[in-house]
Amino acid sequence: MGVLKKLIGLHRILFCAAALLTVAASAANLWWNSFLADVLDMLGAPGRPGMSALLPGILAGGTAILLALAAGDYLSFYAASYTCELSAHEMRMGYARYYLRGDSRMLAGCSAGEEQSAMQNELKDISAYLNESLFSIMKQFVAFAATAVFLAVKSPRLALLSTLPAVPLMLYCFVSGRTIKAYAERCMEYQKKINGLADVLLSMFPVIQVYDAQWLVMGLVEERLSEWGRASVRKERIAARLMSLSGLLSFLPLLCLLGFGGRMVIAGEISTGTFYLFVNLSGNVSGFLQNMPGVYAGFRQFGASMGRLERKLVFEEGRGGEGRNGARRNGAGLSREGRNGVGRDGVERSGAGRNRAGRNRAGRME
Amino acid sequence: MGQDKMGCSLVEKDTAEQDRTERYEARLEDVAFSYGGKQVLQNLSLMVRPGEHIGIVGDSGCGKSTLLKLLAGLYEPDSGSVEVMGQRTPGDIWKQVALVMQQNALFPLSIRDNITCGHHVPEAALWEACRGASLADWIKSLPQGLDTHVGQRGSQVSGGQAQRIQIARALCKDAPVILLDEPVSALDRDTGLSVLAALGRLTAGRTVIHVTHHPEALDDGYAIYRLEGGRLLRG
Repeated sequence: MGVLKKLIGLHRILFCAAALLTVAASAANLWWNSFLADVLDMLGAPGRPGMSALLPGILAGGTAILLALAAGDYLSFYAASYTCELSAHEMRMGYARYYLRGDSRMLAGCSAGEEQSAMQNELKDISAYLNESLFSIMKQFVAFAATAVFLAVKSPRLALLSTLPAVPLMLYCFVSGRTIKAYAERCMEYQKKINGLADVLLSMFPVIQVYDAQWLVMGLVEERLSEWGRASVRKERIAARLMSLSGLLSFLPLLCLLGFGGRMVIAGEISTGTFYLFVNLSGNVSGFLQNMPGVYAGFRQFGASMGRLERKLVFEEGRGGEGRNGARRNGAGLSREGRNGVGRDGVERSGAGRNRAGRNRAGRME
Repeated sequence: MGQDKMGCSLVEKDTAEQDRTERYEARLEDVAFSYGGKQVLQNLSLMVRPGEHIGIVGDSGCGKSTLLKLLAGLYEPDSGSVEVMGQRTPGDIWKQVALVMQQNALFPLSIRDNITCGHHVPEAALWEACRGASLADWIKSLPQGLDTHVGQRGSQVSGGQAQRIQIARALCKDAPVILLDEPVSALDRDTGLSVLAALGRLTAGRTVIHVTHHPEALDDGYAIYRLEGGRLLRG
C-alpha cells in the first residue's frame, strides 16, 4: 500500500476533494430518502391537508433535492475519475523511471516477457482498479457509514437489530478475503510465467528449429498453461464457495429488519416512513457487507499487485506535494520527461469519467 | 576475393567451374538478403570444404548473424542459394547443423532438457557431451544434478556455464557443421578462454563457421573473412 500512500501524497488535494465530494453525494442521497419518508408520513397522517395544497411544496422540494443529488454525483464522479487517471499516469511514469534509472546488470536479468506482463497486466489491473473500484468502494463505504449513523439516529433499536447480524458476516468476509487473496496471488504468478513464454519462444527460435525442440517447447507451454489453468480453477472454486455462503448469510440482516421493523410499525413504535427509510437504505449497509468478500478480495488483489510493483515504481520526490494544481503538475512532469502526451491524456481522462459516471449511476442503490 | 589457399574461397567467375566439381559442406551462391527494406547481404558467395574453420568478423549490425541464420536455414535468401551437406530445404538443413548462440540461449527448464532438447539421449552419451563441454564436475556437484533448473534465461547459472550447456547441446547433436554466433562475446576474458577450450573439443574435425566481432577469439586454424557492406572480404 506504500504506492497508494505515495500517490495520495502526490495528489492530496485532488484526493481530498474527491473524498469530500463523495461524502456530499452520499449526504444528498440520504436527504432525498429522508424527504421521501417525510412525504410518506405526511400522506398517511390523519387530517392531512388536500393534495393540491401539498403537491407544490413536494414538487419544489423534490426538484431541489434531485438537482443537488445530480450535481453531487456529477462532481464526485468527475473528481474521482480525474484523480484516478492522474494517479495511473503517475504510476506509468514511475515504471518508466525505474527502467531509465536501472543499472545494466539489473536490466540484463530482466525477462522482456515478464516485464511486459507486469506492464500490461499488473499495471493495467492497478489502473483499472483505481479507475473503476477505488472511489466506488470509497463511496460505498461512505454511504455505509453515513447510513448506519443516520439510521441509528432515526431508531437506535431497529438499527442495532438489523445491523448486529452483519458483525459475524464481516468476520467471515475478513477470513474468506484472505483465503481468496492467497489463491489469486498464486494464480497471478502462473500467469506471469506464461507471459514469459513469449520471450522464450522469440529468443530461442533458432535453437528450437535447429535442435528440433518444438515438442520440448510445446511440453513447456502445456505445463505452464495447465499449471495456470489448475490454479485458476482452484481460485474460482474457492471464491465461489466462500462468496456464495456469504451471499446466503447476507440475507440475515434483511430478515431481521423485516421481522423486527414490521412488528415495531404495527406496535406504533416507528412510522411507516421510518420503516420505509430502513428498508430502502438498509441496502447501503447490508449491500456493502454483502459485497465485502468481493470488495475485500479485489482490494487485496490490488494491494498484492501494488506490492509486487512497488519496487518498480519510482516517484519523483517532492513532485506535486506542494499543493499546486494536479493537472498543472502533470503537465510539468510530462514536459520534464520530454513527452507530449498531455492532449491524449486529457481525452482518456474525460472518457474514463464518462464511463465511470454511467456505470455508477446505473448501479446505484437507493 | 577467391584467392584462399586453404580451400575456402569466395568464388570468382574463372574458378566457378572448378568449385562446382568440388565437395563443399556449406555453400552460399550469389545470396542476397534484405531485412525491412534494407539490403543486408548482396551477391555473397561462400564455399566451405569439409573440416574447414571459417571465421567471419565485422562490425555490429553488419549482417554476420543474418549470414549464420541463412546458413542454418532459419532465413530464406531473397535470391541465390544456400546448401548445407547437399541439402537446400530448411528442415533438411536444420538436421545438418548445430548452433551455439550468444549468452542465455537456454530454455527455462532443467540442464538435461537444455542439452537433449527433449530428445531421447542415452545417459552415457549425455555425460560424454557434458565432459566434452567441461560441465560434468559442476553438474555432479549440484544436488539435483542434470535435473537442476537453469531459471528464466539461464538466471540460475553463470554465463560460462550457460555457454557450456549450449556446447554440450551441440556435442549431443553430433552434427557435421557447427555454427557459432558470438559464443564468448558476453563473457569475461578468463571465462571466455575456458569456454573456447570446450569449443575446441566441439569443433575438432568438424566444419565450423564462427561469426564474431572479436577476431582474437579465432585461433590460427581459422580462415578469416570480413563482412563489410553486405559482401565478404578476405581478412
